[in-house]
Amino acid sequence: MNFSDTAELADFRKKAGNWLNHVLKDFPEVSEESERESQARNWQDCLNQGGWLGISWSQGYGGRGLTELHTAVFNEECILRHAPTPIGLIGILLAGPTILSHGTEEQKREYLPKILSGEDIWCQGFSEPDTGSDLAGLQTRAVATLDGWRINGQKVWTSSGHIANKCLLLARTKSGKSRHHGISYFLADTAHFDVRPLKMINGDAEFNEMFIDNVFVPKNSLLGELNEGWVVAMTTLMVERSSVAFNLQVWARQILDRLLGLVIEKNLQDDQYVLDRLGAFESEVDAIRIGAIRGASSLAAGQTPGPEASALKLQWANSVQEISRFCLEIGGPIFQRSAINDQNFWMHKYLRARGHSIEGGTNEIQKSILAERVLNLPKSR
Amino acid sequence: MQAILTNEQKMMIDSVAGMSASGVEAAMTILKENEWPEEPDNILFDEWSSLGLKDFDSKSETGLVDAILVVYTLAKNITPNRFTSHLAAIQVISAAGLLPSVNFNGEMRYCLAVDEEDSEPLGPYDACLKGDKIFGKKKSIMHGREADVNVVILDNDKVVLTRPGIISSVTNFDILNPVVDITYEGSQFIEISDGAHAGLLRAIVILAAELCGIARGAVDLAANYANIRHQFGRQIGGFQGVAHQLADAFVAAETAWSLTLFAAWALDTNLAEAKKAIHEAKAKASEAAVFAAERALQVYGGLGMTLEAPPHIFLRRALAGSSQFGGVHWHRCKIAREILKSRSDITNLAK
Repeated sequence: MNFSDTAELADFRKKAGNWLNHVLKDFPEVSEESERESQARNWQDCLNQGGWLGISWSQGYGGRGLTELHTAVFNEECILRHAPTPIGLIGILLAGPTILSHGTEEQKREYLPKILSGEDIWCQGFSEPDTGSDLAGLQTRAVATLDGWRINGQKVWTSSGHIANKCLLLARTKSGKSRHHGISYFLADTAHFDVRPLKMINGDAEFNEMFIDNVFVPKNSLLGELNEGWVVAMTTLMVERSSVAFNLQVWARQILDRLLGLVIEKNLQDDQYVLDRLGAFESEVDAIRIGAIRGASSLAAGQTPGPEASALKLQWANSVQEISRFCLEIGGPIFQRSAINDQNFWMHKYLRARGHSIEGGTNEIQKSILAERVLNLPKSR
Repeated sequence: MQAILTNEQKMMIDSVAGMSASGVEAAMTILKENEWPEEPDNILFDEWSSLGLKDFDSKSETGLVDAILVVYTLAKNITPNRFTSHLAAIQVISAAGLLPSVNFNGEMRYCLAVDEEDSEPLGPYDACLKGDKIFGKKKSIMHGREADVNVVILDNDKVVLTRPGIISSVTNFDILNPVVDITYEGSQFIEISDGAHAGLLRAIVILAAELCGIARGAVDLAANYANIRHQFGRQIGGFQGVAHQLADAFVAAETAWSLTLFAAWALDTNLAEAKKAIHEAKAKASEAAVFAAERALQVYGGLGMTLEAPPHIFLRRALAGSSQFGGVHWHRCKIAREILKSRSDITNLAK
């Protein structure tokens, strides 16, 4: 049992930290949504030129051929320094690893370098208005033509949809009894999608709805086998859960740091109720980090990612929601002086955090996963 | 980062799991017939008496992480044993540098005397020394009746080894860990040393591991029941109202176990953050054990309210352990003061 970095990882962490300290001077925190986008673009350029993208991807596709632990360490150092998010996050986090494990050689050469350079910005076309948690019930259809497919349907909650030119698109290619069989996974161009931003309750327009009206995708855009896209989709979801696990703890740490500052600013250091809550939050955030290290260690030891990632996701959503609500509680009415489009930090955080128990698999879905796969209970759906 | 178990550790867990397979039945026998089983205590005392003392005893190959794996595995099946409390006492003795006076052949049993009527876990205490004699009353000492030597914690970081004082029986809700109060009216000490706080921190990790085992054991117990109990023509585990509360309890148990593993490792590694980690482990493990045992009772339904069904045994142990060596609130406040202090240290440094 060892929770600390190996000498090699510690060295990598130090190099990453030094590089970040140097370059981040040019990337101050910005709050305006429009500024965030251009900064995200510049940040991706900076990361790519520095060789810090695709850390675990093989060198042949523009990566560095290191391990997932190296990626985790680099992400941790980034988030601790409040570094911006690269514009092509979904490509880097989800599209890349999915194409790496299911793509043809031609697809890998075509798509992977452009993900790192930021030339292609990806979004994820999974959820639909009538199929959220019940992904296998998706209705978008792809009808075969001579040289590809014609796609019709609607996608929703699409993060980055408004800036993306590529989409990880799930569509039904065959109807039949089995809901999981008959789905195919496409690497689609979004040029002819009708994308409409959805404004969130905190004023941000992070996600979108996409209307796909008779859009053609060519033959070589199929990822994996025809009608067997469910398997590919599961890779994307698994990658999402395990690669995000390490970032979760740092995101939680950031808001807890803010709360600590708030407690001191409001002179509440001797309030027993505040101390009790603070102690509980600190424990939870530390536990998320330790859990992520345990998960990454078993991955590195060759074990497949288990359902434990669902436990971390639940914990994280719960902690960040509780912490941000507690910030509002000790802030009082002043913290609620916020208009819809306002960037009032605390209100903005609190409202955004409500989504944490919905996005990336709702709390209910995560609990069902744990119940079925860890506790061996019968399916409860 | 290699936060995984070694093959030796996995084998150790398997062997302890084997010893404790009939733990729940043994616990029910104690309840019904007041008959304390000899196993697995005999084998544990014989073979594992110096568990977790790598730092202190050159003969021991095992660290605190190994010790908590054994304790956790025993607790998962609520295996009745006197070994866990003995192990906690040994940790205090080792931290106080008093191991040379300890007989490890399994014949001598030790108990830990800490809490008093109104004392905080780390003191100040009323019990004190006058010359080489001890005076005062320690409360709720686990397995104190069977101990040959009492490990008594006093103010000024002192640990004292002494023969048992005057034992008064106590009826305790937790039947698996009978406790007594012990009054010292001038008992002479055998040994004395500094190191009470360091030792108590090690003992607290042992207790936290036990609570983690209780938490996970309660979840597994209830999950098994939810798989065999049918209502409305199906297994009750297939209802989300049942399944999701067990998933919640599982998450709480895993959270606590992560913190406890880290705390034991941090202590073994002499890390500066070990102290905070121990408070976190104990606070979360206490909370998780009580929560999980209550969920198990709920899932058992009416049966859970009877003495016939096992959930109440988990609940008894969970409640007792959670209040011992500092409750949830006390540990949380310790954590909060610690992080506020390091924040103000950083701010002062910046000035």
